[in-house]
Amino acid sequence: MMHEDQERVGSEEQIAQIKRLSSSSPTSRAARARRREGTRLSKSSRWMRSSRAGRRSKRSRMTGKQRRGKARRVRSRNRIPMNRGAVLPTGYGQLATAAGERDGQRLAQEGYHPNELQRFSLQARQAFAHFAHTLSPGLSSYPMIPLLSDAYMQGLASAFHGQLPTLMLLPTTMKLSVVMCAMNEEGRIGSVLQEVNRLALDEIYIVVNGSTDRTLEEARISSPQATIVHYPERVGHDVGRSIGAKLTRSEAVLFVDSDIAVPAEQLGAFLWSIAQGVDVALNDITPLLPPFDRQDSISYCKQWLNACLGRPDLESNSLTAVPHALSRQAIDRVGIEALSVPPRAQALALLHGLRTETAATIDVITHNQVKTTNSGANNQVAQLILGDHLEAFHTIWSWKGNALNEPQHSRQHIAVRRNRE
Amino acid sequence: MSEAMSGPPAASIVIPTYNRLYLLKSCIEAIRAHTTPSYELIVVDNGSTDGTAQYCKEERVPFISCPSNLGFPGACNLGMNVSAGDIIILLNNDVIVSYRWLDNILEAFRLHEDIGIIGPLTNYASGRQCEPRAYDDLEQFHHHARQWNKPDPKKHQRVLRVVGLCLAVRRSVMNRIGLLDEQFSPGHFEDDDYCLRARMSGYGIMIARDVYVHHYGSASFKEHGEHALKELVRRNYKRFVDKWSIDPHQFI
Repeated sequence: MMHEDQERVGSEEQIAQIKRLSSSSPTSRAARARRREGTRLSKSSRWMRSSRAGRRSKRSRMTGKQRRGKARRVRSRNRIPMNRGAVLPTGYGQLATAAGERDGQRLAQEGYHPNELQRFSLQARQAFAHFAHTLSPGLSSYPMIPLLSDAYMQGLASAFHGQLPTLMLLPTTMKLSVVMCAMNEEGRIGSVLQEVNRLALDEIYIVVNGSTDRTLEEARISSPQATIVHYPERVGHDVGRSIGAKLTRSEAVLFVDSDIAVPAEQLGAFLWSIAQGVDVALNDITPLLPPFDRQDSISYCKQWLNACLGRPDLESNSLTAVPHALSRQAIDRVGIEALSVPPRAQALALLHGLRTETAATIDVITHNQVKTTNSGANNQVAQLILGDHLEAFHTIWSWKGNALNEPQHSRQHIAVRRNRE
Repeated sequence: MSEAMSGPPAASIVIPTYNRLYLLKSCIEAIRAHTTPSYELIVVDNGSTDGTAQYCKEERVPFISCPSNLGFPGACNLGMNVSAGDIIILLNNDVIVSYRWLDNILEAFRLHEDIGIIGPLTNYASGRQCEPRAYDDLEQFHHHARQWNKPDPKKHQRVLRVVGLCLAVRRSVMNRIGLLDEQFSPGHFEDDDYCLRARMSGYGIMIARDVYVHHYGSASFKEHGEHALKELVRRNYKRFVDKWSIDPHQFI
């Protein structure tokens, strides 16, 4: 959980920090430049330096590492950092705790009790949503919400003598679901579900497929309120998401994997994004990737697809990565079948003009399980994703059909026409 | 996922079940013994506590484990939603099928394109499908069924409604009229409601009298006592009438 006394991070602070670091270095810029002149530069280089001057010499004063670091900092300066430096406006915390106490007493009187956790947490979320609605000005950025929920929960807990699981309430009355696929994850699914349960969801669908272990039993123990679809054969996580999505009846659906336990505070960002009107909330994995020249071919595919769809700003972020969330409108427009080919779903979403944005950065890469199928240059998983991208492009061509079938004129024809004008 | 495969199975058999594992076992054994066309089984476990999920897992039967007892319509809807077959068959867990049961039903669908829903004859049901016959045990039942279930298109009878204990519906009809109405949970009259909606969309209802299945009877509802059952039937009857301003009894 975050604390309110964390330092604010803003652009001014970061710039000040950079200045402090560079000026306190034992060798100043001038000294370093002089050193380079004396030892490394030949006569011709000196000529280059002085005539090309300006930009070149300024740039070469920073080492490569510093340059890349600065580029990274510039990029992250423009993004709201996930969990760092979020602070509630003055007084919101106390208001939340007070509201939590009031609502807690009301819920207790109406007969809701943490023993029936599913019912209770849904009511708690509704009450929290009503409270948050009264705040003015409202909540502008997501990082404030876990803090507000925390303060509210403290108040709520006091009405139940502190006997309350730590829920992560999203201040929305929207119906929320989670869809998860699992294959032989008996060791991990418990901790994943522990976090998912904290979100006070209306529905949880788990598609267990091709499992020879106790995944089903572990899931049932961790999440008594989940609906578990169990297939003896493997269906793949993409198809599993389709199946789960088909069962949902909510307005916002979050898709997660069952092998990495992501804290509820971070998962909430995606559902919150949908609650704010976004149709497709993606995981921004850009900060987790190496620089462009060292990325893999699949990342290039994703970037190219987004660029072709008019969204180069999305870089290589797409529905192939989890977690991501979809609105009911997105699921209906894109269609259930398309969800089992994520790049195709991405193409359809953007072609339909659905609002598509990134919601947060969740690291699903570092601890990704290395399997024989997903490592090596031409591994199976990469081939599958590549094929999926080809399907996506086929979808775009079919969509744009007529525009691409414009008659192709011969050079002669064009020349005649041009010369006539 | 299904017992034979390339392309979608001809039929998806959806079996909602709650704590009658011994019934479910015989039901599934009969299906496996007597079903020739390609099919997929989908058991919808309404929160059983008697090892039903374990059994399904061991027998490699695809199933959906519900967090609680959703009743018949809710469970059927889950099964229908994940089904892949061209025909969806809702089956009670206390029904025993026999020789050529699915072949004859599929044949009836093939012969009559306007028919949307088909049900079989049985020993215990409300309405026109009820035809108690003489047999003392399952062995005799299966023995006689080889005669009773000889394919015979003359035995296809058009009706206004069939019961939900063994109800076969085309996928196209399901896509058109939707799923069962869950206000009738835990059960009774959701089948009347579904048949009415099918007819209103222009589809016919049929009894395939060349298919005879054995039905043990309202095991699930009776366990709560006769009074509770009567009360449930009365309550759902009222809900049906409130919904349609039609008396469902006229169709039985």
